[in-house]
Amino acid sequence: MSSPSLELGPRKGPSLPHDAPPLGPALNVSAQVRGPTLSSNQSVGAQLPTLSVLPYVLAAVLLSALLLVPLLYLSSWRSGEGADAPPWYLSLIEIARQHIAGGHEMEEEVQAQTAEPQEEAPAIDLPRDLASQIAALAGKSCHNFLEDGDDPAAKYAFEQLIWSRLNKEWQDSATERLDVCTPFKWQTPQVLSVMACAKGACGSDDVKFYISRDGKVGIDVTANGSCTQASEEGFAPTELLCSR
Amino acid sequence: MALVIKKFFVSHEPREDGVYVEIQARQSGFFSWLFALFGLDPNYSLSILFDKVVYQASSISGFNKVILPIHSVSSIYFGTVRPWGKALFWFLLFAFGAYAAAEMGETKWVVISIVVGLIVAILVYILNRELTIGVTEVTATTYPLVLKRSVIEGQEISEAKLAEISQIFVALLDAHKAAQQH
Repeated sequence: MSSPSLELGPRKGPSLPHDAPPLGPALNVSAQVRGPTLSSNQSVGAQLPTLSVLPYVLAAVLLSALLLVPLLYLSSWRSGEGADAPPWYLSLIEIARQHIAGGHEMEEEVQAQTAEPQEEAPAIDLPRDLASQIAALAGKSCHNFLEDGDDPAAKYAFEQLIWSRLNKEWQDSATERLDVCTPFKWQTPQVLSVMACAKGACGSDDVKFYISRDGKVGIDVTANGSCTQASEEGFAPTELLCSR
Repeated sequence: MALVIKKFFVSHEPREDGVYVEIQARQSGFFSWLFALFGLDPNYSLSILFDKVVYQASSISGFNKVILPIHSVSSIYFGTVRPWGKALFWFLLFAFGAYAAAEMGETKWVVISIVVGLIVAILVYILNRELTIGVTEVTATTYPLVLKRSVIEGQEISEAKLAEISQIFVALLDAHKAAQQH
């Protein structure tokens, strides 16, 4: 049986006509196609969503007004006119302060455990004369002038001018109500006063301290809506007591 | 980066050069405006003709021009973005100032800070809005222009104008469809 013979050499293809390539049309590259005047269907793409910004602007104005209210209270509080602040705001501020104070106490405890013993702080120059002591109380609040307060001058003045002059009964009655309080402010040109309220219930469960420019002290306590009062001999503006 | 408009033309009737829509824009900012005076500014353009859409982006490093046959365009899109985040930032900045004023007992400055903050925020929200218009090729490549109001040139276009461009584009497609059917 004989095997087929294989042709191993290259096959020669037909010769191609390369001298006459097919020619395309001549192009006019500057030609411009000018389309017709269009009559667009107004319903397609013409319906836009609401684009008015008025609702958003009104919402922003409303939110700004809401933000302004507590800031105005805070401002009046800081400027010593906080007696006008409502009890809920005073409670809010006091709670915030207690949280902050609590945090600081923890930090201080940690620092006390880790810190090296330090030299004793220099003595604070406390006001000695009556006018300076009264001035030291103006604008100060419970967290400044109470026993654990942060203002030594105000603490000293409160202790000297008011607290030490109250008998045990009045002190106990007042202590129950030193929950939140307004700052000391000049109720009249002659009398500086401060009000403290048990659980923020100013007007129904509170205590109010008064001190006149000549150093005379008055106090009133409201319990369940009824007010009792006391004042030192010589305290002239007695009409202020229980006047709220 | 948002662009500001240098030239804006929209018409249902084609111009002499066959253009229905032409938007030319440059990059925003004072220095871009200054460069534009000397013809050195990076600029962008989008033109719609009867049978093609031309997009061009040029910058100091060169240019890129895309000519799309109208049948290669799969969609045209437009929209608006209002910068509420930026407006909120400005308001909070002034609100922080108001809080600082409140801590100092300055009631007058509390009110002034809040009112000015509100006005600034509203102006930022309204005036800094950005408009987007662009076309998408059938290959999903997009050619957008993000436009904002120019303070210097004062040119402004509205969402309604962009809607009109989309209507013209749809009408062009309808015209081609009608020509094929005949």
